[in-house]
Amino acid sequence: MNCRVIASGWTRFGRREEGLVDLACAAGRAALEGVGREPIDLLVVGHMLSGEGEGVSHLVAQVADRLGLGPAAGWRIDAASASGAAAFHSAALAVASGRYERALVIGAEKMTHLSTPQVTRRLATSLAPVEQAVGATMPGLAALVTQRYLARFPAAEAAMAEVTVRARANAVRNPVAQFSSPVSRTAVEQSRWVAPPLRLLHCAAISDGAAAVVIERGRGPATVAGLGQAFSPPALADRSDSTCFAATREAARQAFESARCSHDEVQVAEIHDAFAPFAWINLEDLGFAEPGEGARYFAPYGSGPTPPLQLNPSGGLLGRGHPVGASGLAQIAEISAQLRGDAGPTQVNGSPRWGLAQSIGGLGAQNFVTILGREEAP
Amino acid sequence: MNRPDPPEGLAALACDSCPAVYLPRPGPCPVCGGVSRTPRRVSGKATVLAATEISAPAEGWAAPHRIALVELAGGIRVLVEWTTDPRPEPGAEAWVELSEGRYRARPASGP
Repeated sequence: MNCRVIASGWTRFGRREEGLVDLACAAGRAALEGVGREPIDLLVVGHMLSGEGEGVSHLVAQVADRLGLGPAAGWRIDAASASGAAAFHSAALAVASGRYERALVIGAEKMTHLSTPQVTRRLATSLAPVEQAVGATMPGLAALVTQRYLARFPAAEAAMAEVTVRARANAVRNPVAQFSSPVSRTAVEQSRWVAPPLRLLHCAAISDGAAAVVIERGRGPATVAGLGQAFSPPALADRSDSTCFAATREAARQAFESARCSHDEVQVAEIHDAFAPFAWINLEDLGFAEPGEGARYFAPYGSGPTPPLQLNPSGGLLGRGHPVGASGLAQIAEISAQLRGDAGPTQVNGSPRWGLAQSIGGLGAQNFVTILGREEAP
Repeated sequence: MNRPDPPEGLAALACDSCPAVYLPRPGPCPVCGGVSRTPRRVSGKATVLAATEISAPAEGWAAPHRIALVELAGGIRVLVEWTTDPRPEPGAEAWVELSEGRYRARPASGP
């Protein structure tokens, strides 16, 4: 695709005093630093929770005004917890089409000013109405998915805590991550129940934050090589297999087909670990592991295989934090920085040539896969 | 002592284009996309596939709140509010009913 990511920017994730517009603009300014004075002619903002409770609507116009992007076109995208990825996909396609030259893409969310029950209710509005009606929550449904998975692949349970341990270890190196200290396996296993078999530290934290990227036409170190997205029924009960996310499988198929790279060539990935077991389910859905084998990547005490894939160097959603409208774009911002060799303390070894980001919207109702590749400019 | 199946059972829809039978929902048949369907009644007896107890429910719900994924005869799956304590184990038998616009379930045996 004739489109490349040339800069990334973030705010720190976690509990922030700034409002939604301030956070979005801060990330936007961070991405715009050092990319020259070529005008931005497209602004796309990904956001989920509609500024409800903050009195903010028409977010994209407010951000454009603050950033001085008056002549640009723009729109806001909502794809639940994949809003940031959806914003990126729409902007990349618009730039690659030739209609726009250079786009600023922002994903932003403000959550911590709400109580946990309020956030839980708002997140649950992305679920199927019939399942909202019985009091389903995102962690509650994730617990049911995990139970179904563990009933089929019981050996995976030993790796549940390790997902969080590794995420938090990576987050320590990320200066914008919500969590700056590691966590022990014991602490994970003794954290309080949220919805069995999920404990508190198996779940990504409520968080504020924003991420941004600048994309423009052309090829380079972080060229947009493959995009994929697909829907699944929003209701868990309507899915024929509740141990995987079919939408990720289809999105990955599309993305790998268009990128024309193999799984073995992907050296770094950011995957949607909103709940620890999703990490291994995602590895399987993306094709990096066979069904039932994804947890081996996280096997405790180093007994598992050591694939070349370097996973969630940012700390992922479990370590970096999960401001829902920002997470999908934060992943892409991180992968593009990795391919440019610009990731600073989170930079992985080996100068990766291919990187992948995967984002889940709702409980797998609309999932996105993005593959970036390192190409030389013609 | 097993409770009797509620005589009215549950309202369902049978797709006219494929063998699917499913609970009423907006949109086409979830299997084939067919839009023509015929009303049918199905038994409320179900088997629990998975269940959990939500300790931090959404605003408006009391903790702990229990939900379960159950399977009715014929393979119809539905998410239910589990109305008794404790939450059921997978494999347990349950009765499902539609009450106040929600699918609710209780153990198929017991007092």
